[in-house]
Amino acid sequence: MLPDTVIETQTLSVADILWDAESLTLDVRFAVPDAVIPRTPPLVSRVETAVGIPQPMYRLALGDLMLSGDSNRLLSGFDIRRAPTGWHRQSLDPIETSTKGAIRLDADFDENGLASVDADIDITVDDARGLLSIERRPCPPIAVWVEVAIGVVAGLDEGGGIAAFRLTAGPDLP
Amino acid sequence: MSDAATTNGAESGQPLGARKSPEPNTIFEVKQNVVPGATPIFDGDLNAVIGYQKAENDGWIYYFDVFGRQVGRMEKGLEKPLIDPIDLIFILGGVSRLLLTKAAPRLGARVMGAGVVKTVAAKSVPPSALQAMRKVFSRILPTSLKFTATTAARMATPGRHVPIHILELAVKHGKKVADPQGTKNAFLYTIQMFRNGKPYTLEVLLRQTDRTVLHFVYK
Repeated sequence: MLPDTVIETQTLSVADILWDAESLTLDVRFAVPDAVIPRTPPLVSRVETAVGIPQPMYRLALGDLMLSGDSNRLLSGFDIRRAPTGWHRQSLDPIETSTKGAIRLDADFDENGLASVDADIDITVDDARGLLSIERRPCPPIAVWVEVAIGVVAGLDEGGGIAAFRLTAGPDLP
Repeated sequence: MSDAATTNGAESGQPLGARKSPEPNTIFEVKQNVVPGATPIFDGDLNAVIGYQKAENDGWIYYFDVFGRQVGRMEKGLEKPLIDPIDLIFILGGVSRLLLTKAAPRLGARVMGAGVVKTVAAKSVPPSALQAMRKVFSRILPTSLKFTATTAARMATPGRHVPIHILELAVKHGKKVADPQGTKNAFLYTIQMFRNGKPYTLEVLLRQTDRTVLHFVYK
């Protein structure tokens, strides 16, 4: 059974994966599938929009890993600043992905749409298979892997929290 | 396959140029020597907090620049401001207090929760004090800061953006350490920053040689 933070969908966008060697930042962005965006926003959101109150964009900091959510708290990207000298290089275990979907960020967000959780993050590159892993350390058991964009899979723990990502690393990544 | 792209680490930063804030009317502050309990003065023309005011029990309202230095005072009740500062509650999105009090309780709670910051409008400040505040603020800008592709994109992103004068203040007054990620000639500045009255820790990584902002984040 899927955690309630997952909204299944059949269509996914292609992820933009950018490595900025100057900023030492890995930036991953993707569009939330239209199918999972509420057709009718909640009344409060409609009223706020009508009177000019901007809808908050959500951010959840897991240590150095910053998760970005849209105004519906749906994951729309993430980024991390880490020098490649701090990346591990080893083979990665295969994962099974059977679900495509969007993930709703679940955290105690403040009035500015921010939340922060202490966490250590590891980045591992499997050069032979062109894969990149970003995961919490220690990484909790992954209950389900969900493909959130073409090229990006998120690993969720039993509570539906994001614990890991797998990227199909492009050839330009360090 | 995903779209993967790389920016070249050898490229140098670029000035940001004039651009509209992605978060107008959001109150960012770095409080330097600000008198406790003072109310921020928001200049709508500059879209920034340019100073503070505090009404004391001695019958005077004192005005301070953004660095907490007194730039003027006015006797309470001596001059009726255009808008009573006490009545003016600045709200994200420019919603009037009427909405807060008359709208549905849920909406009111949400609006309150979205960050209500009591500020004073610059136009209610005595002209001489306002001029002094603006003069001090103008010394922070224009900035010589440059940005990488990543940090320039952040500056245009709601929820990530930080006003450039706040970045300058972080560099000027923040705690400075060498970049933990080891970038040569780069230093990490850390300072407390307030967004809509809520405190965060702002980190700004600056390459000293060309004053390029390599990274910034608040959390």
